[in-house]
Amino acid sequence: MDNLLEVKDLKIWVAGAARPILVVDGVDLQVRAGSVLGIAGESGSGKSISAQSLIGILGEKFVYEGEIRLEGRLIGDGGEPFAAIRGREISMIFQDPLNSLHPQIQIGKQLTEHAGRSGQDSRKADKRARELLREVRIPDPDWAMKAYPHQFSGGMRQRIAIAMALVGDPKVLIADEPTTALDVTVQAGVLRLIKRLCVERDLGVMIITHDLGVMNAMADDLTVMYAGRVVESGPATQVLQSPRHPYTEQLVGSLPAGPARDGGRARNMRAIAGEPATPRNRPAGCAFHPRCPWAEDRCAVTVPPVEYRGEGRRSACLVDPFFSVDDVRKAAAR
Amino acid sequence: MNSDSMALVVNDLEVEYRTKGRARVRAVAGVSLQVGRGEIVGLVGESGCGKSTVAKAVVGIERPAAGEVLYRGARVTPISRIGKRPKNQRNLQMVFQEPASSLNPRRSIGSQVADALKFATDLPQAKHEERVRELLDMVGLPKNAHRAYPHQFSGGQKQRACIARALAADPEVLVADEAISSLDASAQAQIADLLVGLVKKLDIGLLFISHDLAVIGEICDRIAVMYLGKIVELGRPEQIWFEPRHPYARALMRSVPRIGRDSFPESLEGEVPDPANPPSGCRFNTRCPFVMDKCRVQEPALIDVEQEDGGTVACWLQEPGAVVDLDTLATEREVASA
Amino acid sequence: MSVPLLSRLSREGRAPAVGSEPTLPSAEDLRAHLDKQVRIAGRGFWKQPLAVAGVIILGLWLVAGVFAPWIAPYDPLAQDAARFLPPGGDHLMGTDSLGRDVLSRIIHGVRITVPYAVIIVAVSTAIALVVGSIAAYAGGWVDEVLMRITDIFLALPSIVLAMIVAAAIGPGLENAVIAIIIVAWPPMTRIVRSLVLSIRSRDYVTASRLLGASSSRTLVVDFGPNLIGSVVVVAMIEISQRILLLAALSFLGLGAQEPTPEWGRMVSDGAAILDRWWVATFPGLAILTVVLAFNLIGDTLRDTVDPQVSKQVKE
Repeated sequence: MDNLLEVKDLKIWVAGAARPILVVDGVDLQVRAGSVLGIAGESGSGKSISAQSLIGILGEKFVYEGEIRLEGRLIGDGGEPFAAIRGREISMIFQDPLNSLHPQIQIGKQLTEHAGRSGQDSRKADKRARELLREVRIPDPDWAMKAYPHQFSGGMRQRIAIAMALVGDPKVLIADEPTTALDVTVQAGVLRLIKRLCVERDLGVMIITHDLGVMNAMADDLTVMYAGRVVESGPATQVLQSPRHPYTEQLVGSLPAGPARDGGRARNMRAIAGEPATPRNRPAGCAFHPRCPWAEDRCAVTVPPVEYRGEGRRSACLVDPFFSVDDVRKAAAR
Repeated sequence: MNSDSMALVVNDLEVEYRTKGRARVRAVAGVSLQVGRGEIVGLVGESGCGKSTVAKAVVGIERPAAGEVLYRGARVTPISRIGKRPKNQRNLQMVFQEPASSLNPRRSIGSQVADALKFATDLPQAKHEERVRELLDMVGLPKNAHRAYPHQFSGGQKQRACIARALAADPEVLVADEAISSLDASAQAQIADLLVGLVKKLDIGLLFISHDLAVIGEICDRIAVMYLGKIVELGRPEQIWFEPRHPYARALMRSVPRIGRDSFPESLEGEVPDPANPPSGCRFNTRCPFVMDKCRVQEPALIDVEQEDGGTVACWLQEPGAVVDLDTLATEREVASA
Repeated sequence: MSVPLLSRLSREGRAPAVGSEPTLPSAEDLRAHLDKQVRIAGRGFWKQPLAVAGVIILGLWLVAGVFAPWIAPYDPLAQDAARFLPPGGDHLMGTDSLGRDVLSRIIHGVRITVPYAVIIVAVSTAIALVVGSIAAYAGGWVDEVLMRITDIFLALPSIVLAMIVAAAIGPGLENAVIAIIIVAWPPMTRIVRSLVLSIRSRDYVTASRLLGASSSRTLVVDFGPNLIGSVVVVAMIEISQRILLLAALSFLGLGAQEPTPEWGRMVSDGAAILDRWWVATFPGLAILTVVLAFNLIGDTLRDTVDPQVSKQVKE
């Protein structure tokens, strides 16, 4: 399938106290239509900054370099300006829906704002806004049109923010921690909505979250980032169930899995030793090497390249401890 | 288990908030709990269910409207605006959600831990420095940590320092209010590990409050599930996890996205009702998939449904000696409607 | 056409990245540009050109004030020259309506303006610290009563209130100072109260109380250091406001009286005779530079006083 949104060798610098800091170092991403790309990582991994660079909303202290292509057309640096793309071809929703909702304007007005400005028929715009509210499953759209954001619960507000993101009929939807602030029982509903929109509208969805459980439910493809670099990417289920990179393996292992059925503790929560690396103090060589149980001397020297590992999977590890002969045989047999 | 031997006993606790111009809100509407030494009791629920208010009332930050909290057999008195906390309660300690705001940014870690020794223990001043180092080492902080300032630490390290400060008071019971929720995944696991280790090593009781069911299920010996100010189910983690008896507990379990789970997480219909104006009857009846007429009228009490199980549930579906499996019930309903 | 998301983003100042410009500098240029920006933004107090300028200006004025009798070419009160001599020659800034040397009067004027402004701010800050802390810490009706009292003072513009008070207790420099203190403490109290409230809601204060620290100790140890930085910053900015108010009262004849060489008074003398521009302009410039110096210092302090920021500076 063709890539809808393609990012090559993305680098982002931020103004630091003494010198610019490279917060994102050579990230490649591909978003396909009708599928969900997940970007996972802890804070400081550069996942949110990467997403923000794709619609040009980085702050003034940031500079990016790299190639961003939407359906093959270059956008941003040297191509079509972000302002022409943002909100139309690529939309974004945030952890806090109030980022995209004005607190003192009625929902209906906000949803029809752009239609009025471009001289569209206001009744048509009104009808379309109602349709969008129905599409994101807001109960009683007629009432919602006249209501203000504070009259809705967090989950409903996020749904409205999604409706707002759909106004321009985007091809790509970027969701930055869309459910992190929500309760679990509400989160499930919002996730289901995003998944449904992805399929029904053939949207390319990019979801950014630290929650690998959410990734398991949502993502078709998964990219794992650590300290500004991609450490592993591939089909989500495979990456999560048989990780290829030590960091992914350790991260999955650190998650709580709940109790075991026989009453014993599953004790899945194996903590990763040490503190997470940040772009500000990224270790030389592989950024994960100081915390990696498989690290060898060379890991402290060479930055591992992201290498193809078969079956759509890539990882950046010199040691590659989860390499299995069976995989090679399977690949050879094919 | 005998409740007299419990380090912390909460009896029918109620906490009310009075907001200007609005009705009284009963954030906690009758909660009973016990925490023994060497035991981790989890309190889980969604935002607004009152779990943090329980934590505050337990340590005395919040004044109960009714009921009582007993710590080592003595009633916990709420902390007044002026005046000091009674000496015998100073070792009932709490770890807060935000490590960044629970340490004074302008004081060294060492001096803040030493404060606990000064106020809550009888240790002579001369031995404070040694004890501070010992405590910081116990929570896994580097050797020179006592001289560091909070901003030099990561979130996980700050939380370790907060735990060290709480431990300095020599607690029998520790209350952790969402103590790992604001941390990154790997730091969460570290701090959870640390807490579990300390509970066993120092034989202290831990009341662990969190919205994260997976973490609660992983580290706790018993779990209480709260909804709208009340405990709806209490039991062993594996029972609540695999055979929840309360429909809300079941919904909560089924909504958690987890690795290795094939089914898509399920959402719960509707919204949490306004705590100022809770529904009559069972508080969950507005969202319950199994709701019956009785549920709208009469409020179910928390009852033991099975002998020697230790679990209790507040639901009209469940009767002593006849536990209904909710999954089976759900399947039956589906079949019947199809 | 535009989309609401967009308008909101730009309202929050998150401008589109540099990339959306039609002609693009190379990535190298951008990095160099960032480098430079960073070097300015990350500097400590002493490395900020504006702050240093403020300190230098203020320092010059203070030196002039301390050594006024030696620096000033003439006696500020002596009326021995001709009236309204234009600037130049023996009188660099000319002479006023009574033939007094303007430059000498300005130099001696520092000895009035700066010390009185400092006294005003020190006293009003002290009152504010006490009243604001009590209000925030005690809460309830105590807070309610104290805040209603400050509301009464805040209801009138400070200049009007200061005029009323000064007029009531009689014109004169000391009375003007008292009037300004009465005007200055309520807004300061509001600031202190909100600072204390924000600190009180932080968990480390609760943690201290849980350990058994007394409320007075919490005030000193937990509030003190966290309050002092902010209060000093506010006081610095406040000083410039109070200098202006003092000058204004003197200008209106409610403050310093003849022959005191107070700047506001001097501006007022020259205001009626605009063709003899030097009489009012030079004291006006003096007020401007001192106010500017305090403002520059206060602003920079505000940016550097946060420990988070100072940490970055050390890196």
